Amino acid sequence: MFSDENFIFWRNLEKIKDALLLNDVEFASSLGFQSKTYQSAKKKKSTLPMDCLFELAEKMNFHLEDLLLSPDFELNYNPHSKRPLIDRYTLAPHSQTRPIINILNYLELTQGPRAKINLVRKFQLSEDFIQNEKNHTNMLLITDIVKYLAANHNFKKADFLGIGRRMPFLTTNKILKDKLSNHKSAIDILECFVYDCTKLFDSNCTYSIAGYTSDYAIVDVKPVKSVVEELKISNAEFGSEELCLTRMGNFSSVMYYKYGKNAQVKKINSIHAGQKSNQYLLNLGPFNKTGHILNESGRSNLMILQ
Amino acid sequence: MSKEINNSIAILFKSTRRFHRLQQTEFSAILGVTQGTISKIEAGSMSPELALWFKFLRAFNIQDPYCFTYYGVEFNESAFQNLKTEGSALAPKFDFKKGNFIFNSRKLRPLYDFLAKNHAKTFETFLKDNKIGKEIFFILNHPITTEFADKFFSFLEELKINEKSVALLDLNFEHSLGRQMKELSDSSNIFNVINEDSDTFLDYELSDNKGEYFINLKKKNLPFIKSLEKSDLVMNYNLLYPYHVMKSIKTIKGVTPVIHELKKDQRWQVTYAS
Repeated sequence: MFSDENFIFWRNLEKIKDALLLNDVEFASSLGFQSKTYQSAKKKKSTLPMDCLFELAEKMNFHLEDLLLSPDFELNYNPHSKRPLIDRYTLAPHSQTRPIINILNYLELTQGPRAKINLVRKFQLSEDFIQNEKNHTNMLLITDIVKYLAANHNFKKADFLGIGRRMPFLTTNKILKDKLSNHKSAIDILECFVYDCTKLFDSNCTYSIAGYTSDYAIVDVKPVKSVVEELKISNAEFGSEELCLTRMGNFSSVMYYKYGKNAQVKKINSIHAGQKSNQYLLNLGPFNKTGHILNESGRSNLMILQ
Repeated sequence: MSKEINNSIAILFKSTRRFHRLQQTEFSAILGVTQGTISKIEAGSMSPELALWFKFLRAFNIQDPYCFTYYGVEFNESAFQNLKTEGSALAPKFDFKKGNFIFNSRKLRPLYDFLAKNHAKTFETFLKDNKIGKEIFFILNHPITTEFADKFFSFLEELKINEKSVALLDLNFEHSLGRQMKELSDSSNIFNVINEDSDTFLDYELSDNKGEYFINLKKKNLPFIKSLEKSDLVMNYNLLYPYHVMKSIKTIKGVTPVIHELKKDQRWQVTYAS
């Protein structure tokens, strides 16, 4: 009764197995079966249990139904493709691979190497591409990755903040470390990060300090208009809440270089809510032990917060 | 995850079978497997093969192949045509012939989950005494009568959940709203989703102002509401339904809702500014 569907099922399963570059034994094991059980099912052309197939479908991001009912099923994965990235991620290539490396490392740390492999496969990222920090991609790839992690890997707010906060531990750039370790005060560090450092790793946005008091500072992050136009999206489609959380983690960790602890940070404005820029409120109070009066430094464009 | 999937499929198989008044032997014959296979699946000890799962969906007109992710199933409307003549196999003590349908199981599901978690033994006794199969709560579009609603909400009152304290409950909508929960990122989506539930007796209206929404009674349901013994509790739960959804997905936090009746028995406003 199920013969056509069952043949389709095994043909599609073979496509997945081949795409993952696994042999029967490895594939069976990844599905949670002994090789003997897998081979027996394959020989009888009976389909496999729901639970393992659901997990496979979630990881590989295909529809369960397609496995059984789509004779033309194609898994969007090709390890032999020469293109480093699909077209979507090559427009407006103003992002480096470092954020992606950080995300992959965090994923491996928290959910194991298999999760990392699946994410790499999901987005068709080659090892060559990832390992070379001189490669470029765009905001869309990073945004798609973090959204995928939220939807499929149960990443929560703490995870995205955590990714950003790992910056001091992962940055191999000595210039950055030196810049952020050798200032007198928290606001000095923040100013250095915002005006000197951000342009080293993010050309998609302009960063500024919108205002500050002795205990708080507001960092303003605005999408670069030409990048938004090049990507053919609206401001509201630029980035995502998850991406903002990773950025908040970055800001939070800026104080770590000198003080050994992270700052509290909160998002107070959002382009996804229709505002012109994202704004983040940083609590610098814990770092101002000397009571240094910040608003007498004579910096331009000051706006004293109420 | 495997255990959860299998437990979910187990209850959905059983709910479907019992609703259709089928023994395991009849059910297995429809699906082309042995009775032993069905028994193991309903016990949660075996995962059905993919082909069997899709055979089950087709045989019983279930649209969503991922319904096991939210422990709920919906049948085609035609499955409920015989309720008025034969009643419900899952609530045989209740009179479905009058057709006094007030809402469906989806509305009660968050309360079922709450009771099953926090008052398991007492709730089990309540279900047993009233010959209610818990499976009725897993068939999300199973119509619920005013009589059933009264009995259910009377039980809530016995647990000291009344028309005032119902606002304080922490409810989870993961099962009642299912995969739609992923789309509920903002308030307008919530209202769209709730209003799409075609048998609701209320129409929910999001305000342009933050911290409030409105509810209008669909006129034809007024007599049913008045016939409810526990009409205050039933009404308040339903009026606060969007508030509870927003609270569960954390778009609002730490606020107490207030219900204002703007037009007697017809239009209400719920405010929830902190």
